[in-house]
This record gives sequence, C-alpha cells and structure tokens, in this order.
Amino acid sequence: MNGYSKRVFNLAYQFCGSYQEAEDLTQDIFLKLHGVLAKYDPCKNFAAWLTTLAKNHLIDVYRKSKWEKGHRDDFEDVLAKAESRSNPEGDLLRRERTSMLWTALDGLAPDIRMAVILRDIQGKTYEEMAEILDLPLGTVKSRINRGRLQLAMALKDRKGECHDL
Amino acid sequence: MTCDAIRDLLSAFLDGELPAAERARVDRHLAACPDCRELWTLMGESRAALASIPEAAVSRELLAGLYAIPGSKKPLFVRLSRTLLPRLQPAMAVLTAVLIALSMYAFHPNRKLIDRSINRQVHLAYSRVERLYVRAEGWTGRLGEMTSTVLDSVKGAKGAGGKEARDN
Repeated sequence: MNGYSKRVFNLAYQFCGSYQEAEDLTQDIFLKLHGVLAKYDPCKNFAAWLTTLAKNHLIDVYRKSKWEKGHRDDFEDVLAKAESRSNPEGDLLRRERTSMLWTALDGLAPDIRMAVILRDIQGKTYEEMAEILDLPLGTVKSRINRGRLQLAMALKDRKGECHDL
Repeated sequence: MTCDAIRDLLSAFLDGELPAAERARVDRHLAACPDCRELWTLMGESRAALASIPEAAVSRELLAGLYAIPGSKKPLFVRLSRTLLPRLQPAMAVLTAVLIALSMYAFHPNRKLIDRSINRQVHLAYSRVERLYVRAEGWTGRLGEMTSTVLDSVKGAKGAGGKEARDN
C-alpha cells in the first residue's frame, strides 16, 4: 500500500500543486480503486493500471472543477514536504528555475501537463507513458515536445523579465 | 528545414531518440539558428530542473485514511445490498409483476382486442354498479316505510297500554 499510495499521491501533488488537495484526490482515487478492482486484468501491469486510473480521475476532476490557476503551493513547501533532503540547499539559480517551472506547470493544458510530469519529473519511458496514457507513441512524443517547448518559452520570458529589471 | 519543423523535433533530439540523418539535420540547424539553439538549451535546463523536483512524503493521516477505506467505505452496490435491498424486496416484487403485466400488454400482437375487452369489462362493471345503486335506493325507500310503520305501531301500542292502565 505504501508504495502505491506514494506513487498516486505524488502524481496528484505534481498535477494539482496543492498538498491538501492531493491528499483528498488520493483518497478519492483509492476509493474508486476499491470499486473497480474486480475489473483489473491480472495479465496487465498493476502499477501502470493504477496510474492510468489516477490520471483519468485527476483530469476528470480538473475538467469538472477547473482548479483556479495560481493556487499551487510554493516550491519551498514542496521542498519542506520532500521525503529525502539529500541536497536541500542546492544551487540557488537552479532552485529558482525549478521553482519557476513548478509554477509554470499550471499554465499547461491538463493532457500536456500530465505527459510532462510522467516523463520529466517521474522519469517514465515513452513506452510506459503510451501504456499509461493509452495513446500511440507518436502522440506521446508530440505532447512532451509541446509541453517542453511551452516551459522553455516560459523560462525565456522569465529571463527576459529579469534582464529588464 | 524551417524553425517550426525543427522545433517539433527538439524534444526527441534532447532525448537522443532521433535517427542519425535527422539528428544531423537538427545539429546543422541549431548551429546556424540562435533562436532555436536558445530554445533547445532552455528545454535542456527545464528537463534537468523538473527532474530535481523531490518526491513528497505521504502523511500518516493520509495513510491511516487509506488503510481505513476497505472497512469503512464499501462500494455503493455492497452497501445497498446489505441495507436497502432486503427491505425493498416486497415492493420490488410487486413492481416487477406490474412491469411484466404492462410489458405483456404493451407488446401483445392483439393489443386492440385487449383494449376492447377491457372497455367491455369496464362498462359491464359500471352498469352493475348503477343497477346496485338503483336497487339500494329502492331498499332505502322500503326501509323508510318500514321504520315509519314500526314507529306508528309502537306509538299505537303505547297509547293502548296507557288507556288500559287508567281503566284499571
């Protein structure tokens, strides 16, 4: 249970950005899991199946409720809630960049955001992503490309603002 | 290749997923185009920064809540079958019978004949009720007459009894 709850909770947290909301969403996902566990095909990879269930729930809730933009936790809170703090200080510039990207995730469309999270934060392979997202490999790659381009543009704008100051 | 076409390939280029020929084309374009080169550098920085976002720890409260799910919150169907359904069984049986009768009527090939026979039965029942009502009215009249006769005879008997008593 611990491993799966951590996996689902982190996906929810990275997607919605609020620790409190991620806890509620994780509860909902596990409740849903108990309802549909009978439909699970043992030939399939359980972790991927659970991630797909979580992904569908997160995107459904997002579309129904349209979480307000800009309500993501501060990146300092993310660091404070981190499980291991091997390098809590890090390089200041990199930390600022990561903080800015954490906030910029809110600007991505839900499908694109999910693809970027799975690939760049959680380190999934394209094949794993195609299974989780139930999409052809080409669509997965194109979503990641779009997401990364948007985030790079956001970084560029931010650098421009800093230079102006 | 245009900048747009190159930008579509930047992510795969970054991940080392491009075939050699395309990789060489992107390489050449990046060497000549500062805008695309800057974007590619930023994509690389962004990928590295996102990879450094740490995993959050799951709180004890959440874990306790998750472990409590199977005991406290059963799926809706299970909850219904244990609580509501036994109480509703007689009503469900009646409803099922009514629905079967209705569907038999609705899908019967000679539905018009059934309609006519129902009409006839309704009319027969109505005329029977009317006849009963008329008879009942007749009985009411007779009962009224009988009551007044009985009352008169009782009064007569009382009057005769009183006279006899005075004579004695």
